[in-house]
Amino acid sequence: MRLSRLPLLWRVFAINATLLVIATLLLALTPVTIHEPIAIVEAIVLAVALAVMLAANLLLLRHTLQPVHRLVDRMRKIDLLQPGQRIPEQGGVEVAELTRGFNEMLERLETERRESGQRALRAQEAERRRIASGLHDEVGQVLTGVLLRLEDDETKEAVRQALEEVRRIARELRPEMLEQLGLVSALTELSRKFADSSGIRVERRFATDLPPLSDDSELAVYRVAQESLTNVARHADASRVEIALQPGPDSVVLRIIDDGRGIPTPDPFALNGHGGLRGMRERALLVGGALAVKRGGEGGVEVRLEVPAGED
Amino acid sequence: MTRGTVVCGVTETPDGRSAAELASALGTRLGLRLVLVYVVDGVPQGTHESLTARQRQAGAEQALDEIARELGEGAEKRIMLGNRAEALAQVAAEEGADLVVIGSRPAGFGSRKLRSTLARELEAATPIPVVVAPPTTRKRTEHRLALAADAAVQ
Repeated sequence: MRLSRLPLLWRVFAINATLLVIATLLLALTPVTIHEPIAIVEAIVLAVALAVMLAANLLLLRHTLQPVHRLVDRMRKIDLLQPGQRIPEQGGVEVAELTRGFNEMLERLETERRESGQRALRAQEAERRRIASGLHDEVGQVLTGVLLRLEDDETKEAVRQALEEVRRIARELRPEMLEQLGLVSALTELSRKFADSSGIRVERRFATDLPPLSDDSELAVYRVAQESLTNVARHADASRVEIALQPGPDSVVLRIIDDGRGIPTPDPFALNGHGGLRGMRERALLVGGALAVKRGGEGGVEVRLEVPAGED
Repeated sequence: MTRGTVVCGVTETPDGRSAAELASALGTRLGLRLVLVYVVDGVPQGTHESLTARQRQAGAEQALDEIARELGEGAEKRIMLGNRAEALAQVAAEEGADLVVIGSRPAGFGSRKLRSTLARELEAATPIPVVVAPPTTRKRTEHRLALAADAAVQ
């Protein structure tokens, strides 16, 4: 049996036993003697021998325990927002067993996180629909009633603006166009409204042969596009934005590229206070997609979302 | 149609360039989008705005531009900061990569083996298959590459 296959206890024991046997043999077979009181030369020889033994012990034990350190190091770095990371089952019996247990725990955590994330997102969308419905049907009706009774033009204009704002918020909360006319129409409408409100030129490139997507994936694409355009309007200082939807290999790819000032760091996810980006990434992950936010080819920022095709 | 994606970790060394060449050839042959990644390592977290970090990023951008230019048009470029394996795994996940290509150094008797510590680290960091490009000292013919690519497709 190879030493590396032995349980950790026996490997440590084997290392210490080997060193002690060597020391004993040296004492037994060599003419080394220690007098009472000890001579300086003997003390030096003894100290050197002890140092060599301790150094050998340290080196061998460090080598033996290295898989445990590697495992702990990887455990600290595991990121649940990057699923699929698994630690190779290497090292002795205990380490391999520990690694297997950890990998199984990761599997369970990823499943749990995915399911709870999906539940949370669905609850959030249901709540948004409820609020949008309340705003549109109740607040909107009240404001319309007030508008009809008013006579002063200035007040009428103010109420009209308030009514328009309530409808806009309701539209953002509940993308009716997505439910009724599909993703391409919803993105067309979203980008048209974005261009009107921000004054930024929008170029749309939507393929006509897109594979079907599940409702959750369509919503993820829509919400990522919405968040990206909001970021462009707020932070990018851009004059042009391109929004493209293309078929990929069994997938659909959304790309939003602006010509603005770009991002200060190569990895915007590493920055604190970018909850919007994190939310986008979580949405992408929950539908099995991949999201990249990076520097665009000509400056600016490119957001790329790829979601798997399929109606389930 | 958007194609599948190959992510390649590049460096200015011959091994890094060899990886870029292989990734580009594979990308062309298999019709994959190519994303070249240059990882600036050894920059502590939170210091990406420091002068040293900015200088190293600028150097990395220059090197990456040069490698991309040598490969011809079409390659996308990304600079990352941090640990090489973790950064490559992150880009591969973000870009929805089908394959990660990295370089290697010759090792063993007669340089018949490949040494790539990065490949071992990537094994734990990403579930995406990793291809280790042989160093430039080895002969790589178009025929061999074509056979390898055909085998990969099948």
